[in-house]
Amino acid sequence: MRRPLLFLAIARAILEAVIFASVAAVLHRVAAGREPLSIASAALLCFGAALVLIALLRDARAERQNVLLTVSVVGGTVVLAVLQPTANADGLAVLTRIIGFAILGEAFVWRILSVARSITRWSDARGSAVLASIALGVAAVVPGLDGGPLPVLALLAVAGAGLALSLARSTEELDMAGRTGRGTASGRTAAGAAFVIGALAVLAALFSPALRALAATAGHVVGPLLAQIVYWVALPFGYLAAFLVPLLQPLAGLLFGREVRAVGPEDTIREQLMVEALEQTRPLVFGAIELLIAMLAVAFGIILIDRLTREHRSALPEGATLDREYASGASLRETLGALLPRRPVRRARPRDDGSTAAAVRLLYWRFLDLAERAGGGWRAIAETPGEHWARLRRTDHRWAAARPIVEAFERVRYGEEDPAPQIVEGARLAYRELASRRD
Amino acid sequence: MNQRPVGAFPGLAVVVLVVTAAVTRAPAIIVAAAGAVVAWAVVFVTGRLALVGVEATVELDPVRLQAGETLTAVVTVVNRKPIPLPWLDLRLALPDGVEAAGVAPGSPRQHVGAGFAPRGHERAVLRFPLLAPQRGAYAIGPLRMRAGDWLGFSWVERTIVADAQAVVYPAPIALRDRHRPSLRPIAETAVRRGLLPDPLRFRGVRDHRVGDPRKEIHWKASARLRDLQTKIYEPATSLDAIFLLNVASYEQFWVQADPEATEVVISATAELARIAAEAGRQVGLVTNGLDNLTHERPRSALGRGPRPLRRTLDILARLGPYAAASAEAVFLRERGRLPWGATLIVVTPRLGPELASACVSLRRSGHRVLALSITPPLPMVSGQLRQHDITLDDLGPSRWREVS
Repeated sequence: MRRPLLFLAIARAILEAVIFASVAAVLHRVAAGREPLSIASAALLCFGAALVLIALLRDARAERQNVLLTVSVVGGTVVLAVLQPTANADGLAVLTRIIGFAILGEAFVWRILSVARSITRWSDARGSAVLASIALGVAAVVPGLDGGPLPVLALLAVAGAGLALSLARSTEELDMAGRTGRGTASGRTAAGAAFVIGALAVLAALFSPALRALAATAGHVVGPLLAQIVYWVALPFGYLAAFLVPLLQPLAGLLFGREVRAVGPEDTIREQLMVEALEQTRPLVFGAIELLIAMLAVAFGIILIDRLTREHRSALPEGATLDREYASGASLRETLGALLPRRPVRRARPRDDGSTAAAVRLLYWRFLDLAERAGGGWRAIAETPGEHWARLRRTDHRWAAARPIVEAFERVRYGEEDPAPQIVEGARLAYRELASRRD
Repeated sequence: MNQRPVGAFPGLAVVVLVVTAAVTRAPAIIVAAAGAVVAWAVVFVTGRLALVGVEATVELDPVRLQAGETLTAVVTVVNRKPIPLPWLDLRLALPDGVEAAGVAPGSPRQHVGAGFAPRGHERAVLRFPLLAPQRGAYAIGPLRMRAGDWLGFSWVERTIVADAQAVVYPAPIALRDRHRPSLRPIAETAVRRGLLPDPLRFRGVRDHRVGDPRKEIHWKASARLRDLQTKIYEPATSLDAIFLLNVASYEQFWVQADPEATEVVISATAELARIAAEAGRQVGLVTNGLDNLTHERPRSALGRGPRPLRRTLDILARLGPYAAASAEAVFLRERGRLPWGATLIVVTPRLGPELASACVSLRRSGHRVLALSITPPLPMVSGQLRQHDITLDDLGPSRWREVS
């Protein structure tokens, strides 16, 4: 499995894990679960299982093992459901629970099979993203669930969706280009890396309580040490601030006209009131800040991941070659400037002072206007009148009739001479002829 | 030609997510809504900028080649912006007569395509090997470029008119038809016989024939031998060779010519012109065929060197299967523009009485005439040509012999 496909498999596995962990948490709650199901552990388990299955099912030799895999996954799901503690569950409730989780396991296998068989299909990735957001939404609003890890899962789902959509589209397009271009198809065997990552995730999910305890112990040991390090790093800055503030206070008073005053009891009361007001508006303020942070994090994540995992292969026909090299170009600011709407270019009409040269300039301006309206375009900056005229003639030979105008203008523009009246008249006749044809 | 992006991000779903997040204030939904908003922005920006700053040019190498040879289409794509593209699909349209080299049976031949992911500030040069099995003038393109936003919701397409043309000269006739021997003997015949007698280079005398000019009678020799003798001279040193090419296969010139016969006469003319040019002769071309691009009857003035030969071969490459007029009318109309003493080589699919009469008229105008025909002429026509000292050769596939 190539690196982009490995990333794609991981992203799709994240999405499926979010979907099925959320649904499993809701199902567990509905089917007489005593304590809320740990969504983080469930998601980790689903992620690992999904990755292992994707790695296995992408192998064409696994066709005959589909039944075995299905039975194993469904059986495992049922066993896990039964092992979870329930509250006052009678036989019917247990049966409901078993049937519910068996259906969930079967749905999981069905989804993973479709993922493995069409991992590069962009529409499938989009469907998974939509399904994940719906599942997360349901899990977020159902009461009594383990809602703590849900924001993290949501962030993972967003990142996974972005990665899956981006990679699926590029892989799909390059595959199609390769097909039309008769390029060589890449190898599509089961990947050891995907299998190993998935297996590790499953193990981590199964031993999540022990891992959590290990992390807590490590936190107890490492936490004070880190705090001491931060303290020693920050201490010099504290002394510096204590030294600078008394020095700068008079200067600030001189500049801004404020007197330095001591903090009195009224100020303390006022600050207390302000803190209470802040507390009242805290959810709203924190919501906006969180939103901004999340947006930045997601934007950064998408750009980073996209940069890291972009498809670098190319689909070329037999015998074709591709050479890459650096090319200078526009800056990011100039590129983004292309998003802004452009104002239509206003062409300054030449001033008519009554001379024959001005008449020729005016006629040439009208000719350019005619050419632009006809689709031939205005003369480019780097184009001579002759080159522009030749370009027009290549598109339509009838522009050949503009010769008197162009030649007269070249004499005026480059020869800096006032043309004879008959030349102006010839140019005028040519313009009339061109204008009448356009009408 | 730029087009607006096709496809769009599902904005309604984003609005629903944001409203849900605002109502429920659930952190998970807030994060999901924020992610959707960012994704929307990413799709909008990268979709609009997908082909901004992307330039492409198409060049061909070589631009002049012989039928059956390969050429290379060099497509240069420059991404001048710092933002990379996740994918770029290129498709270069090929005209009939040019195809991708090494195409497997059943594969499309009307275009070559490639896909890759250009990085920011990158120039990518793609080289596609092409094959030109048929003669002609071919305009390659247009080039279609397609790219999309980073998340794949929309794509934008641009079509670039590639100003790349290739002229494929007719293949040497020996290559076209292995049963047809080389034309060199004919060319040498044309060289040897296609020269007018030079009155300054006296060679000898022969018996007088009816029709010989009276001024050419060698009176002293006639008196000594007691029979009229006519002076004969060494050939003149003119090396001019003008090819008169008839593309019409039938008496009715407006009927589309037989393609096989047209190709044979064009290939034969091209090879003869090459041989003549290599021998240092001036070459020119007059034809009643029509140019496939300009739809006008082309003409190549007599000249020496690579340029006239190239002009002649260009004309031959672009000739279509239709005639503008009958061959005899065109050749006789051109008679006044032909330099005196030039060897005229008439190459035609068939040699009817009208064209034979035109050849005789040209012969009488002071030209040496050599006629090459695919179909053997009628005996009456052959006799007429032989009578006027016009060399006739056969271009037929089964034999290669000098008739007169």
